[in-house]
Amino acid sequence: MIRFLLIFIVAINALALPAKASEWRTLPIVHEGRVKPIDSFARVTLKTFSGSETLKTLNASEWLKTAIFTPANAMDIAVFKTQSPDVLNLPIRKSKLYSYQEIANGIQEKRETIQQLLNKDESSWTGKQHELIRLYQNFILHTQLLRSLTAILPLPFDIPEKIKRNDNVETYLDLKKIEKRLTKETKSIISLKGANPDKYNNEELQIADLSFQLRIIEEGGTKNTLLKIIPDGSDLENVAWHTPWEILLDGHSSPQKADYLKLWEEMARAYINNDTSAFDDIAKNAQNQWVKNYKLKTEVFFNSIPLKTIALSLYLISVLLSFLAISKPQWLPHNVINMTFITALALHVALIVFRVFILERPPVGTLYESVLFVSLVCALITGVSALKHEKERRITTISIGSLSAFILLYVSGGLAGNDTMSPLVAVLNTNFWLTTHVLCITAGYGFCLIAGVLAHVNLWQEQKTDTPVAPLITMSVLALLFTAVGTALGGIWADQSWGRFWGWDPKENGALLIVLWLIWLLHGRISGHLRKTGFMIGLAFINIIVVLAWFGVNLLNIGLHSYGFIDGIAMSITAFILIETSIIGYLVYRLKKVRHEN
Amino acid sequence: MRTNIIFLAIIVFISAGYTIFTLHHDRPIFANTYQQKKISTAINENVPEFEYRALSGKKGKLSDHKGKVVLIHFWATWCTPCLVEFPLIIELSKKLEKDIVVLAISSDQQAAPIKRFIKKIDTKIPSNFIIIEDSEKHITYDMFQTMRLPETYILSPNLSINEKVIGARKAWESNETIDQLRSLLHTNN
Repeated sequence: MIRFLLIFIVAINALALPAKASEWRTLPIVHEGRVKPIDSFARVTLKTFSGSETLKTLNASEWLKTAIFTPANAMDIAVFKTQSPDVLNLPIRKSKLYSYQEIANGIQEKRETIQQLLNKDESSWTGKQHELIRLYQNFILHTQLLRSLTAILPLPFDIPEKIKRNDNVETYLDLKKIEKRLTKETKSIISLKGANPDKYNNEELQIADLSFQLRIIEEGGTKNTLLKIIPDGSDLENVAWHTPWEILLDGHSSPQKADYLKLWEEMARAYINNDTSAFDDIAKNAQNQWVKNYKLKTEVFFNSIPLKTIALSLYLISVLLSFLAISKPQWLPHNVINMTFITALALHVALIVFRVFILERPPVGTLYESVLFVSLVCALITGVSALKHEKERRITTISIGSLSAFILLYVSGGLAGNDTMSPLVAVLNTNFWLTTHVLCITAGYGFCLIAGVLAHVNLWQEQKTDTPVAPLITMSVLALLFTAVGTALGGIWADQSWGRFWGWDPKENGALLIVLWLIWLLHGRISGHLRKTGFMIGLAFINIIVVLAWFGVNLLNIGLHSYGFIDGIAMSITAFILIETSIIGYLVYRLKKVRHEN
Repeated sequence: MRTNIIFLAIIVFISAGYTIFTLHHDRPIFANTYQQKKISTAINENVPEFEYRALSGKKGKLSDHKGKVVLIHFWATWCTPCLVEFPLIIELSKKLEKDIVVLAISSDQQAAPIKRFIKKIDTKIPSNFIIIEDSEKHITYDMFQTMRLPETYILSPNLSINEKVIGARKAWESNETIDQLRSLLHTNN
């Protein structure tokens, strides 16, 4: 066991070992309201464009470097993903990825259509029109990125000697220093030869063009608000952050910020000259400008380990091994299954703990996070239950936990697209209520799901043995306790936030439905009105009710829980309900058939 | 069943404990994340040393004025708002001659327009108002990256930034400003 864990830790460390330029990846930036390492910013931004955190040949950090330090090169990297290339008359491609240049050409062609759409109500757009606007918005975002550092990048044109004289003019900032000289020369050319450039000689043309280029660069920087890499103080937290252009154009400069911006200028030069070692040294120097922030390093470490993927794979292995062990007990030592499950569980816990540490809040702020958390609750419940059971039942319990956690983690993949680990909307912005109400109700979902899966297993096994109903009752009581208390706490929170305890909001009705269903089942069973089989069938259906209350009500897009609204999962929910109903129907049919035969 | 009850009791106990704890320590999630503040620049940032040459030809450095409230004022004769603000700062420096020093750093490329302007405003420049030529823009651009004029840094006596004024301020002579600068002199910041 210890050897297995040691090998695993070494493997994880090997995966997480930061590649070169790790200092660059931990440089701070404010994005979506949170101070994060530039590595996280790169991943989120790349995911926005391409739907993935890496490209085939570049990781997110390397792509970002190209985009901000060598914008001309980045224009040819295929980074925009679209399933509908026809909306911009793009060629059909297997990868579905297109470059900035290709998108720019398409946008140019469709400029009028885009303008007309933007003047219309969004609800009237078709699916393709939505895609067109999405691509347009991503194009704007990418343009901002390409222009983020143009103030400190080498100028892509020569400076006439008449303007340059003995000064060292390499960047926009240098050019700005001699702007008066440039303006004077340009005015003098116009007064001598007029405004028609055809009459200018080469040098005069160069000078006139230079004035124009200076304006173009400056306009590109105006309202450039994306790359907020410069804080108003060295402790990073609770201060305003600015982009290099905001520093220069909006008066947010200071000697310390000027020094920091010079480091970025040096970094850009080292990157352009392909001097990796100098780049790393400067990045380290830039890192030392600010108060040490271990959260940033932790986040980069967290980013570099695919904890969720490894846990998901291990849960799947655990499920398969458990099924194998149940059908052929002599084939497999149970310890292998136990270890696989425990390792998956440990990684799952680490995943949640990392998120709590980074975000400084309970891990249930978004729908995606709630799925991660509920899957952990399911695994933990079965893990604790497995401790009490003897060998045979332990494997069954582990298989239930592994299966539930695997399915939920797999489902979370569909919701991960919106996971940017950003701060929450104002109404959720309280650790107290997130901890009490949301943790309580999501833990309740976990108990419900395990009770539901257990009911399925019992329905399957009922033909062979007289399965005990007590574990089901225990699980149902715990599910009822957590969902009922969670719902009541939600009411108190609603009273504080919205001024009423209960408003028959879809989310509230969903929570109430779970509570009422469990109360009905438990009372029915305890009073004897429901027989054992009926109780198990009713409990098996709790999965459908939980899914409706958890995800289904969000599709209605009405009520005050708007922060949870989602689209595009109606088909998946319908499919789940049909499959689950069919499974339960089959289990009941099978049970009746076996009983009839006996 | 007994184990279940114990397990349940532990959960309830921990939850209740945490609830009571957080009731007294509840804080917004944003406490440690970014919040936009309406401040113009880094307060308490130490301004590094720099040397200058005054219009009079006399050389000096920032640290010569340690112990006084220092106003680093960036301006130029071609900047219209600067021309409106400039006489107001001169009047302020006259009122607080013993307490403050003004370093008026000009971005003009030559001394002639500065001298013409000084002559034109026809007022006596007090000794604590030092006009500095920065035609190479080493202080204005390289050090402070000041690109929009006028701009004024108010430094505490220990030469750290107390306030940055972006654009022209009309209330330089107001009692509030005078009180602010005087109180700054008596603090250790």
